Amino acid sequence: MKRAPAIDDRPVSKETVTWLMFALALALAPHVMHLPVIISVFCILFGIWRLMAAHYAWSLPGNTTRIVLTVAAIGGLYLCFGTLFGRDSGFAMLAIMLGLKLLEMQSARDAMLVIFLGYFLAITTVIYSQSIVIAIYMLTVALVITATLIGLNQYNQARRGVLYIPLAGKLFLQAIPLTLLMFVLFPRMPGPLWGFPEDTGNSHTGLSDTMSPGSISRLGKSDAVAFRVKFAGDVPPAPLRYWRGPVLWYTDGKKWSPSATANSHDMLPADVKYEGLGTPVTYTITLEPHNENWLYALDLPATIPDSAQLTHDYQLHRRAPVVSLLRYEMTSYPNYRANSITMNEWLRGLQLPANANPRARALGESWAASNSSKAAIVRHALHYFNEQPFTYTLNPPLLKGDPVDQFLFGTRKGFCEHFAAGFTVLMRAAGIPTRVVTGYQGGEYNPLGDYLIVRDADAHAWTEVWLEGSGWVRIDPTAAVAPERVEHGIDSALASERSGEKFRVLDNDVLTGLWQQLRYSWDTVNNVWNQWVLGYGSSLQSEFLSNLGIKSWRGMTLWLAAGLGIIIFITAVVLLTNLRTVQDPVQSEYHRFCNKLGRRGMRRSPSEGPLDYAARVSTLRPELASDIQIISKLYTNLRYGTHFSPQRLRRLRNRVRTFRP
Amino acid sequence: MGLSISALNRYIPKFLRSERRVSSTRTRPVVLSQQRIFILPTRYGVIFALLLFVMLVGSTNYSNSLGFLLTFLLASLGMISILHAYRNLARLTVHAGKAPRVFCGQQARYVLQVDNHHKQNRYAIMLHLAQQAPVMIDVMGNSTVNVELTQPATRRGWLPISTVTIATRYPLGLVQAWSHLNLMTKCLVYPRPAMSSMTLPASSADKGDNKPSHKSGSDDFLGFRNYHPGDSPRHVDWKAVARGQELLTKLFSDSESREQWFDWEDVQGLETEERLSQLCRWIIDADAAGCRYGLRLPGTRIDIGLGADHKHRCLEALALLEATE
Repeated sequence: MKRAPAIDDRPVSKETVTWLMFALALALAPHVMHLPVIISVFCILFGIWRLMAAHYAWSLPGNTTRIVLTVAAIGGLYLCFGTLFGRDSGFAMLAIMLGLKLLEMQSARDAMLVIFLGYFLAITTVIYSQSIVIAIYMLTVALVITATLIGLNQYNQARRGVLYIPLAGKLFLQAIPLTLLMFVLFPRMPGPLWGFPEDTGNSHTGLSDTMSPGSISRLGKSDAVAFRVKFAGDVPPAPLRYWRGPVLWYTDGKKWSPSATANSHDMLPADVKYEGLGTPVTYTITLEPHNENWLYALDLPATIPDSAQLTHDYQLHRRAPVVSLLRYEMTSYPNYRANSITMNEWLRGLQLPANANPRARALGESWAASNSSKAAIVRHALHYFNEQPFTYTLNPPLLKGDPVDQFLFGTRKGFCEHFAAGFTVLMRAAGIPTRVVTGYQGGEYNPLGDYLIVRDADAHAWTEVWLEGSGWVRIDPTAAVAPERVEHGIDSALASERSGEKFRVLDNDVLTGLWQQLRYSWDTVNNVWNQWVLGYGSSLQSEFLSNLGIKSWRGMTLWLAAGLGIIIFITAVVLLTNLRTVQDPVQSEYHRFCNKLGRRGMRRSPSEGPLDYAARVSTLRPELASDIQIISKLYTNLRYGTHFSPQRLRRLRNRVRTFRP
Repeated sequence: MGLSISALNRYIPKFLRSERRVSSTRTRPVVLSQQRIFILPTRYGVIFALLLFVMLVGSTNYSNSLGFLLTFLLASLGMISILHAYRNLARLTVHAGKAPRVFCGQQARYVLQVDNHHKQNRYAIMLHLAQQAPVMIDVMGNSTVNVELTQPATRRGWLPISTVTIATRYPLGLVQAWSHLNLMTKCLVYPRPAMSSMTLPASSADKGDNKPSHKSGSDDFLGFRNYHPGDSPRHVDWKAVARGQELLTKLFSDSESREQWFDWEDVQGLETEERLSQLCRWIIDADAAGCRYGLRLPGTRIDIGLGADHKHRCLEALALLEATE
């Protein structure tokens, strides 16, 4: 294939530069809040510089200036990030290199590369967010970049870029069937391919695996979705909906964590047998990325999702943190008997820091002395919480010194973490092995989508005590203070505190109902998006495709190839039959006239103009000359003249019809 | 409906058209159909594919569904653009048209007529001859565009058009659809005129001045005509050029008696091509001077005559003379 050198070297037109800058600005916009300010500022300045060069003949920097700028940019990036190879520094590098490339962009060749980098910059946005809004935005950016690309390849760049938008849109529409097919059938590998991806920045800050006063009430005001749950059967009642997260054993008197040493999770999958009672519940969780290693499941999980394991304290733990939306199927037993305990667990369940919380320990010890059974101590403790003037609140006063003592005997205002911590210290002091379980409780049912929305505000902490004969038993001290929290959720328990700002304006019941309806609708749309688009990874793909009878990678590849072939073929047929000859009525009449003469041996050669032809056949057949002249004149007037009139066309048609050579 | 000026030109009566003679008539048009159109990625297409691969790996690593979706969308766009590039060429009709005669050393110019009998506009169509720079045209729906392709004429005689490549990268520049057209047209190349006129042998001249090209301004001035390649620069109206007008050649009346025979034997002692060059120069000069002349070549004799047709007949005889040695 011959390449024409001149084509790639042609200069880029003003219009293309303008459109390119517009497209790149759109692509850069979502990055601005993640990039160091200085990088964004420089990119914008370089863009303006290039724009001015195109429109007002500003001169672009010479080689030396560009080299200095490049070195300065790389140095600056290194100073900002301390490395050049991380993800964020990589994005920053991409942005600044794109900016620098703009300053040397002269030919169409450079512009092509800039456009490709623009596509790349646009697509990297998905690292930060995969929401519907971002998806629509990215499609728009891709559309504008594609329109710019079309404009660049049209050579005759006098046309304005905006005209390319409809054509780019047409290409997008034609590309949709192929896109969907590839999305469904392209074999997905479970990620990550290398190492664990860094914090993706799109994770919301949910529960952490430590608990201290205020760490959960902080979440109480957040409406961010933690996960959504679709139940195969009926939704279990609220008091049974305890979503198990990190289990905390160790306390230093203030802070609770899984174990004494910061990073050892004691993840040995011990013998985790327990006895499930009654019928299990089956459901699917779509977990928003929270950048932590654990998964949530209804107490107690009976199945283990792929790539996860069950720890000795019934947590689902995963090797890689959840950095993108994760969908997994679960089965749980809401009723169970978990009556196995190891020596280690027994000791850890009784651990208390030596010199902390003396009053709480004394109280717990006194209960141990005055009650005959462990179960009676637990009951006594719950009565204590219920009868003493404890208040359940999102805004507890700040605790100083020994937080447990201060809470139990001083402020007596707290959120779930205060109650769970206080109760556990009391139980341990009374000699009952107790652990704190964090997670979520309840969740809001979305009647439109028939699923449960669990929000950060539903974050909760409760306890499990070891009772001889019963095993680990869940005790929720918060329920002793505010039973409506467990029965009806946090909104009804703390209605005034939570809805204070938000619903005041919507005092009207109808409006509130409408607002609720809107919220459910939008969440349903998001849920579908999450389930079928974002959640469509390797596991959902193999599940979905095996239902269709495609069970292996080989099958997927074959079907993908066949599907691509069929869709491309259909598109090609549509595009090429669309390429129809225009039957201009004037021309078809003239063709008929020529054919009549042609049949008499007076064929018109392709190079012969109508007047030449008329002159030639007139000399051959003088008796037809006047007809021929009239028809030819009518034809040339209609086709090349400025005035088209239907009357003339009708005259031409009649003349041709009656023409008998 | 767009219509180019050159398309209209076809319908202007013959006597109004430029009198430039055409070497061969148009031959059968070539219609671009499936068998003729090939498609390959351009190097931008290859870069684009690599970029998509990087996006794919990134999406896999982050298990990012939206990343996959956009990667697949761009890949699909690339595939769709193959069809569009193909369609941009499909069923265009190319006629080889006029190829005006040229002198050796000039550029042979072939006029191709590209017809689009369909409603769709065809943008950014490149046409070029082997090793020559491409010409870029847009062919609007249901219209015709004439393109002139050039090729250096390095030898006298018939110069057939070399293979024409018609190609397009529209709309995305990722793939190139192209086709090779073997059109049947040729250009007649006259010998290269000698740089300076050799003295004519006295025997051939009937009398007096033996250098027709040295006619001085003392002859009667007849008028102007358009400059033709090969006209003596001495007869160009340079004042008119200085005024910004086009090149005009002054015509002078010559006495009937001055007739000139140009004979193959007059240019003995030179190589065949040099002899032809010299004869060519004489003919041009004689024509420019309005001198009546005839030509004698081995096996050919053209009687004394005058005028453009006569000149072209003589030059054609020179161009097509078999190399005897």
